[in-house]
Parts: sequence; structure tokens; C-alpha cells
Amino acid sequence: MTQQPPPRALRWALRLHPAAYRTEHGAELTAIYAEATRDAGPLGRLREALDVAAHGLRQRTGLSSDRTAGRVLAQAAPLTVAVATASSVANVLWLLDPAVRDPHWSSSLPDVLLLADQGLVPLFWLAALTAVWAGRWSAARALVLPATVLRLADLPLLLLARFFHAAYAVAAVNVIVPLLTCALVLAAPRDLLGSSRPQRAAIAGTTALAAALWTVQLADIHYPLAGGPGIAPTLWVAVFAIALILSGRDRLPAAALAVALLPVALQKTVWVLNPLSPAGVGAVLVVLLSGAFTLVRARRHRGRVSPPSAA
Amino acid sequence: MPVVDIYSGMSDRPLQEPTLLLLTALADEPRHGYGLIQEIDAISRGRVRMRTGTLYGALDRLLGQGLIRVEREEVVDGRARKVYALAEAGRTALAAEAERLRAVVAEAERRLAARHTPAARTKGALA
Repeated sequence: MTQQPPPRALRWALRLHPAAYRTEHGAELTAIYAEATRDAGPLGRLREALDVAAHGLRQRTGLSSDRTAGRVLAQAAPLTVAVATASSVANVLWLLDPAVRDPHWSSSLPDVLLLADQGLVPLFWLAALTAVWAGRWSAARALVLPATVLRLADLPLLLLARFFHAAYAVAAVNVIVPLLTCALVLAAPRDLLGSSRPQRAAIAGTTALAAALWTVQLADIHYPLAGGPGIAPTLWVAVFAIALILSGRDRLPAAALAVALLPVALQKTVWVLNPLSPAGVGAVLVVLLSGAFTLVRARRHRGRVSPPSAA
Repeated sequence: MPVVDIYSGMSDRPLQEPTLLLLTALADEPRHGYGLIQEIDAISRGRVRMRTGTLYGALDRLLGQGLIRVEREEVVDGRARKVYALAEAGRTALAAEAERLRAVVAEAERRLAARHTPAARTKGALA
């Protein structure tokens, strides 16, 4: 019997794998896919093909579960959900703060829609965090998608509500941050995600850390910290830099925390750069120096470890 | 020997469920990819449905960690497939995890029994 050519969805999914990997494993992946989808409907076949595609993307980007980056991402995924949950709650509190709102705020349809939209996002993130805590990763990932879509949907509303004024860099960050957060959760290798028990202290600690940092920032609106505007957002950048410096091949929890903090650290760096302030310059320097330090250390470590034999 | 860590491969963290189910599915006999999906479905009573890409990612990792090995390659109905078997390190890791889980179950049963004891005494005293 001759082998049937793979269906179109699977062909696309296989194309996402590196060529060498596809040559070596393509036939077996096709065989497993064919058997797994023998009695499946179109939706089942699509989901199976998407899973093969995700595997291909992880192989191509070095995020598969047999690589250090994949293992870091698996540890970072629950922490990312924790940070996103705290951030979404803080975002609503921030929008409801009278000191933040313009005089016309919440008097027009975009404003009302925006508030409704922002009110829903924390519910999805809280449900996702609960699912992560219970080890229900399929549910958690499914919940992250609507949370991201809703978060993205508020961008046109924010523009309509004239909330950003001229700070379009901040508007761009409002697109990048939810997408990056979603990608960090979805890109984690599924076979390393399961019970949250070994990471519960880390999840709780990260949630508390994010809540504390947001509380400082919210309090800064009414009780400005010494050091001028931009100091409170810079705290995120400082914590991110510390986590980055502490991270390493043998210290995956710190690396995972740095990855989880990355979206908000990026957001805050852009915030303090618009307009440019001493705090903003300091934040960028801290990020660049800690990143350079981490890169140099990783290269040194790689140099010390003898490369695998090519034979 | 400590259980091989799914994250670093060095510490004694418990195995994540997909890894535990995969090793368990290979414990009695070697299996090919789809056979593993079916077996994991059966062991977890339908709770865990491992998809092709996820399974393949896990197989790559476990092969790299030396917990499983390729037993043989065969062609069935014109399709190439590999048959995987548990390596000695995988058998040791699975045995250690089973022992850890057994200890947890024993402790859970002991505590449940301890909770029931005062109620039984009270009933006895009233009778």
C-alpha cells in the first residue's frame, strides 16, 4: 500500500518545522497524526494540526521542552498569568480613579464600552489563574485568548475616548504587551505543564509582588513618591533587572520570573520614556546593563560546557 | 536515585503528569506513537488526551534525557513509525515517582482514618 500524502493543514504544520527535523521525523509525525485523526471531525483535525504546528514553531525557535528556553518558559507561564491577573485588576482600579480620568471620561459611549471591556478582562485572568492553580492548563490557555482579545479591543476605544492624547508609543505598547503576555503562556511546552503544586509558592509570591508594585504605582497618583514622576514605574524595571541578573542555567525560577515580568517591564520602560525623563534614561540603562550582564554570563557558561560530540 | 527533574534534569521535583503518564504507558511494553496516545487516554480514564505535537515534544525530551529509547522502527500500512521503550533510567525514575505517590497516598489514608477515629469512639460511648 502506498502512503497517502498528508492533508493540507498538516502539510502547513510540517512546514513550520526546521527542514532537517522535518526530513527526519516528518513521516512519523504524519503517521501519528493520521491515526489520531482517523475518526475526528474537521475541528478535531484542525486542533491536531495546530498542535503539530505549535511543536514545529517551538522546534524552530528553540522553545521545545528539551531545551533550556522551553523549560524556562514552562516555569514562566504560571507566573505570567499571575502578573497579568494582578495587572488587569490594577488596570481597572487605575481607570476608575477620578484623578486619572479626564473631565469627559465615562460620559461617552467609547468610555462606557471601555470600562465594560476592562471590567471583563480581570474576570478572565482570574479564571485563568484559578485554572493554572488547579493544573487545568487547557482551560487556562483557552481563557487567556479572550482576555487578550478583550484587552486588544480596548485600544480603538481608548483612541476614540482620546485617552492617549499624543502618546502613540504608549498605544503601541497596549498592543504589544497583551500579545507578548498571551504568547508567553501559549508558547510554553504543553508536556511540561501540569500540576501547579511545585510552583504554588512562586505563583502566590509573584502575584503578591505584582500587586505590591501596582499598589505603589496607584498610590503614587495621590501621594507622589520622592524622586519625581516615573519613579514608581521604574520599580518594575528594577525588579525585572534583579530577576534577570539572578537568573541562570541552574537558576530557572529567577529566569522564569524575569520572563513573566518582561511584558510589564517593557510597558513601564515606554511609559517613562514618554516624555523622556531621568527615570526613563535610568530604566533603559538598567535594562541594557542587566541584559548585557546576563548575555555575557550565558556565553561564558556555554564556553565552559564542552560541546556535544558531532560524531 | 532521585527522580529526574522535568525542568533541570537534576533535582528531585515530582514528575509532571504528562511525563508520568508517558513513562507509565511504556512500563509494561514498548509502544508506537499512536499506541501511546491511546494508552495515556486509557490510563487517565479519558482525562488526558495527548495531541500529536505535544506527544512528539515529550518524546524528544525523554529521549534526550535518556528516560526512553527507540526500540525499533517499522513500516505498517505504508507508514513509517518508531516503537519506543522505557530505558533503565526511565524505569528507575518511574519507580521513584510511584514510591513517592505511594507515600502520599499512605499518609492521606492514615490522616483520613485518624479523623474518623474520634467519631467512632463517640458513637461507641453513646451506644
